[in-house]
Amino acid sequence: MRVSSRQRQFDALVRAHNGDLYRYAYWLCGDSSLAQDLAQETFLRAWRSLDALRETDAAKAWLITILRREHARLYERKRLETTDIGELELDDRDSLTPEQLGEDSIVRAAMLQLEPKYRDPLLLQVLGGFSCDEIARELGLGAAAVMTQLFRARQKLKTLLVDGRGEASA
Amino acid sequence: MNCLDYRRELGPEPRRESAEMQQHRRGCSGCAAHHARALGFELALKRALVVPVPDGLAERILLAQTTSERGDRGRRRRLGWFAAAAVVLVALGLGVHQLQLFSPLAQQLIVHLEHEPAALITHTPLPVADVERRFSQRGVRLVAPPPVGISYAQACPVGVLGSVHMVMPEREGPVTVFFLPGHTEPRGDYTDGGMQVRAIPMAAGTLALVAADTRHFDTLEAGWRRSLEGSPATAAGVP
Repeated sequence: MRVSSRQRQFDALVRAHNGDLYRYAYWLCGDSSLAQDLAQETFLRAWRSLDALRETDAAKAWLITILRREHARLYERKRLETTDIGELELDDRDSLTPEQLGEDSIVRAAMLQLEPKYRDPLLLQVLGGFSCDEIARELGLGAAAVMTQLFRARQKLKTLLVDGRGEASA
Repeated sequence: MNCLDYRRELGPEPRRESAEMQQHRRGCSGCAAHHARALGFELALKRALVVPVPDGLAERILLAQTTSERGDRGRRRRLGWFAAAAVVLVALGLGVHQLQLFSPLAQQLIVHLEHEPAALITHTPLPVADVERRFSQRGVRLVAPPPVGISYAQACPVGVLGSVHMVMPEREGPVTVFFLPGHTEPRGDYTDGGMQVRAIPMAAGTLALVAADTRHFDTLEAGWRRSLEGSPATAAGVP
């Protein structure tokens, strides 16, 4: 069967970015199956408007924008519940020490407690690898505001981690 | 750059350092330690955020896309068939219409009358200039004034033929007159739907008279021949 160049481009797009998109979706909604649906719906929408994608370098930001819109639509329809951190099942963590696994769990719990206005730019920076200017464009904010949010996000996260470690050792 | 500036700039983007920041860090053990702690925190954060991706996610997405695409293609194909069927129906309809266009002239003239009932309403004679203008629209120049009493004149298409469509009220009822320039119809009298039609080849065209009865046809034929062809001598080419 002959595969069109459009289909090949889409295949490459999915294989290159499905992981990042799933993770970003996961941290937006806090639910694995919902995150998979969001990632799938994002790619289906991307397929329908693939001709709008002109530059390969812009693909990730383009997909993230679609995903954020999809998530916003979903949020409009129903209030999402975040998953309890204890429900997370991580199956490729064999190489990590028990201490590291424990530490990851604490960080994840803290991330889920962060307010969205702090969590969103932090996810875009850490998972997406976007600069402050790119995050500002994505979120429709000024660069200075984004820098402030990123700074405060880390401060709040560190405070939550101190509290989390305290509870874990108690 | 001092330590406060360095840490303020490092805070929002711990993985990015400007040349000036790097220069400061190399000369400041306190900020170097701060930088190392910040990177350690970033690594821990990244490791925690990189949750495992469910197995086969890419394949499931591609499957959903190709399935959806095949469905869309099927719908498009069905739409294509509908479109083709619609084209055939339109073509058939046009064919039927065309058959009407090429039906016998008498029939076409009567159909045309049914489409322009307003032509029979007025009885006021038109100025001769108005009638001449309709003829000139069809590229015809009258060689003599038209017969008197024309109450309606329009340049109308009859089927695929151009015509000057006129109405001449008579005491017994209106006579409709068509002149079809460039179309030669054999002379003949026809009856269709209770209407009488006479076709007369005249002046490189055809004059057609349509009425409920034929009592005025001879007079009108002679009158229009004078208007279109002139006197018998003129028509014969005598100066």
